[in-house]
Amino acid sequence: MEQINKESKDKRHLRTWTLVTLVLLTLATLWLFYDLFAYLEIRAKSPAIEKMSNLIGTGFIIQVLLLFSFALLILKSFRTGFKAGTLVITAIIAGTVTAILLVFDFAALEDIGSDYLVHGYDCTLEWIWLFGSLLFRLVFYIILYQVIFRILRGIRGVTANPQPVVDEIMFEVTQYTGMVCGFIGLAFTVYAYVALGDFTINNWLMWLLMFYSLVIVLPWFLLIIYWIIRLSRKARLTLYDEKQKQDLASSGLIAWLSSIPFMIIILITSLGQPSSPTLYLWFPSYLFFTLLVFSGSLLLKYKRI
Amino acid sequence: MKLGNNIRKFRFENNETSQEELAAAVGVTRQTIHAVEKGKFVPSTLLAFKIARHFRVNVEDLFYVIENNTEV
Repeated sequence: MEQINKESKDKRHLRTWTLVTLVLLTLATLWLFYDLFAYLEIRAKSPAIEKMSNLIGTGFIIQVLLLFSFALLILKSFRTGFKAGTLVITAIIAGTVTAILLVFDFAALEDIGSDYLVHGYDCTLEWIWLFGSLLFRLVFYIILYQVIFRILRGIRGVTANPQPVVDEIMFEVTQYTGMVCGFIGLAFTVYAYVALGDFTINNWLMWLLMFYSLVIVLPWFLLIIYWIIRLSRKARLTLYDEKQKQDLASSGLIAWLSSIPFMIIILITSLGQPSSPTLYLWFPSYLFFTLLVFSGSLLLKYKRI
Repeated sequence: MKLGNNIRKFRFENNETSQEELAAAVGVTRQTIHAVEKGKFVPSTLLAFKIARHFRVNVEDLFYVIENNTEV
C-alpha cells in the first residue's frame, strides 16, 4: 500500500514538473523567435537596440530556468521508472550542448555590443555563431517537446522497476555527457590554438580561456557531484559493479595510451614558441581529449554486447 | 575455453525473472547480467555464487566450461 502511494505521489510530482517544463519551454520557444527578430534588428543597427538588449537578457534567464527544469525532469522521470531511450539520450546531449552554447552566445553578444555597435568592426563570425546557436536551440526545443509529450503520455503506464543497487542510467548519462563535453572542449581548444596563433596571452585572456574551459566541463562535473551526493544518501547504492570496474580500467588504459601521442603532437607544435598559447591550453586540451576518449570507449565497452 | 551458463533457463523457470530483477537481487547492473548471460563477461566467483544462491542451485548447475566447442 505504502509502495503504491509512493508511486502515485512520484507520478504526480513528475506530471507537475513536466507541465512546469512545458510552460518554460513554450516561453523559451517564443523568446527564440524574438531573439531572431532582435538579432536581425541589431545587425541592421536599429534605434531600439537598448530595449531589445534587456529582453534578450530576460531570455537568457528563461533559458537557464528551462535547462534546470529539464535536468530535474529527466532525473525525476528516471526515478519514476522511465528508461533512457534514444530520444532522451539525444535530448540530454542537445541540452548539454545548449547549456554550453548559452555562455558563448553571451560572449558573442558582448563582442557585438562593443566591437560591432560601438567601433563598427566586422563581426561576421559572431553573427554566424549566434544564428547557428539559434538553429541548434530550435532543434533542442523540438526534441524536448517530444520528450515532454512522451512523458505525459507514458506516466500512467509506467511501473516502478526494482530499485537497482548500481545506478545504471546515471552511469550511461554521465558517459554521454562526458563525450559531449570532451568533444566541445577539444573543438574549443583547437579553435583557440588556431585563432590565437602566436598571440601573447595576457592575464585576463588566460582567465577567460580557463573560464570557458570550466563552463564546458561543468555539466559533466555537476553530474559527478550529483552522483556522489546520491550515493552518500543511499547506503544501499554502490558506485560500480564488477563489469563496470573492468570497463573503467580498460577505458582508463585506452585514454592514457592515446593521450601520449596526443601530448607528443602538442609538444612538437609548441617547440620553439615559449610564448605561444600552448602554455595555457595544453592542460584543457589534455583534459578534454582524455575525457572524450575515456567516456567514448567506456560507453562503447559497456554497451557492446 | 569459454564459460557457458544456464542463467536464461533458470530465469524463465523462476517466474520469468527479468534481467533487471536479477540484477537488483545480486547487486549489479542489468547490462552486467546481460553480458554474463551472453558469455561476453566472466563473472567473479562471488557474483557466480550470488546468482546461484538466488536461484537456489549449485554454481555447477548454472555455469559450465566450454572447451574446444565441447561442453564440460
